[in-house]
Amino acid sequence: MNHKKQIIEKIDDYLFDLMSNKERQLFEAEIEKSKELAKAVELQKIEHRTMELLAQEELQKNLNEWKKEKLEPLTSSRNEVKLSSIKNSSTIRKRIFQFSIAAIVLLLIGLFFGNQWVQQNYNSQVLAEYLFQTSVDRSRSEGVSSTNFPPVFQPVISAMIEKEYEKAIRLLNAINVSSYQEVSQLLQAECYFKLQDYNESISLCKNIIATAEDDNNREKAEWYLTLNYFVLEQKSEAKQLLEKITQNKNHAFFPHGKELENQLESFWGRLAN
Amino acid sequence: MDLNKAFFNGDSRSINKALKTLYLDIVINAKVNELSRAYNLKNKEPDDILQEAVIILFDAIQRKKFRGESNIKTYLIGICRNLIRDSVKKKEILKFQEHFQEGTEKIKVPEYDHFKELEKTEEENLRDTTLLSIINKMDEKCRKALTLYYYEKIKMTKLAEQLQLKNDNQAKKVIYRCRKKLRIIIQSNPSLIQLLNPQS
Repeated sequence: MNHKKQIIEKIDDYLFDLMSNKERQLFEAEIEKSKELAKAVELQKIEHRTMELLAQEELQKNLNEWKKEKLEPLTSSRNEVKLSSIKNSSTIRKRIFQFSIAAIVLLLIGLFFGNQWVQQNYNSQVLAEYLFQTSVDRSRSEGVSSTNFPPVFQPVISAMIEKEYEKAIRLLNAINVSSYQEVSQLLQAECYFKLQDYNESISLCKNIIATAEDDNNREKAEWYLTLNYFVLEQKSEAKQLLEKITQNKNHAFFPHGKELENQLESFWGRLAN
Repeated sequence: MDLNKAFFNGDSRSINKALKTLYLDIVINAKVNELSRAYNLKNKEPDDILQEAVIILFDAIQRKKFRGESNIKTYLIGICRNLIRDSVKKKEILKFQEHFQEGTEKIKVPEYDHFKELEKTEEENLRDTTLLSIINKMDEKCRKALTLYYYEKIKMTKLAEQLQLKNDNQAKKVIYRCRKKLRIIIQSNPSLIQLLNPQS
């Protein structure tokens, strides 16, 4: 290694702080003695400063790179938050929408079947038919009332039990006994009710109510008439007559009238009617 | 990370790592933002201030103006405060929190005058401007080699490794050649000659 290179390396050691204190002191003494060495040190200081500035330039480049890194997590996390919140909110909205649809469908199904059920069980016609069945048919099929009829009505009662109502009407028309007229008309009103000829049934009931001498027959006719009105949804007439029955505890159809009234007053009865 | 150890005893990689740690430090960034708001900084971004401050800190370490006497983070925040105060009109300055919390420690932001010594003289400014123009004329290979030489000091093995050269000798040759070129440019520059011979 030549002398010049040795000097350069020594000055580097001095400028880079790589000398011991003793070496430094000796070298500084040398610099003071030699103008040439002092000049070489100054020149090398400028070289070193150039290298420092080069390192600073490098640092500036690095800082610009690090700035991107500094901003990246912010933007990416913001984006992630944004995306995840969008995703979450859209998922939640989607779920809510699905639940709403499902709830609406269930509600509609519920309403449909509920309405079906209410209509099947609580509408006026159904109630009337049900009560007709419980108040008249049962006693007829059980033969409770049949014993109360004179023998001439036995074929009629049998036909009615067999649900041959037209036949029963024909048989009733054939009975031409004035004393049996009220009973005959009552049975005909029953038959017409069963044949769903409610107007004919109403007309017969009205006639009995107006002309009946037997209170039992009149009360029976009133009950039949009430049920006919309900079936035809002539509600004001029906309610008026029902009120008459339920206000009279001695009325033969008081318990049935009360039952009908309770059914109509119930939630489902109100809903259906 | 021991920042002082990295800055004063480390190689180029650990110095770079330490600088990056400082630049990305959450407390420092938050404090620079707070300072910028408190001083109504308008013409610069807080990040510009921090970048400038990191370079000043690095320069202070290079010029041995800072030798790790105080907490390096506090020192950097102090530089930032100095830069911000220089960038704004005094009447616009708002009330500012003189302390900041780091962990359990409450640290006072250093006073403005503390950094006067970091300012360059006119002569130094002229020298650096001239040298920067010289740097721009250097080829990329020499720039890289000299930067690494500066960081690695005289450790040629590391230099050869980073410059992807075969051995120490090749690294030495590259450095020698680049320094020779640089010396020629410096010696041909009148203002730098003036610095070398102030009496002429």
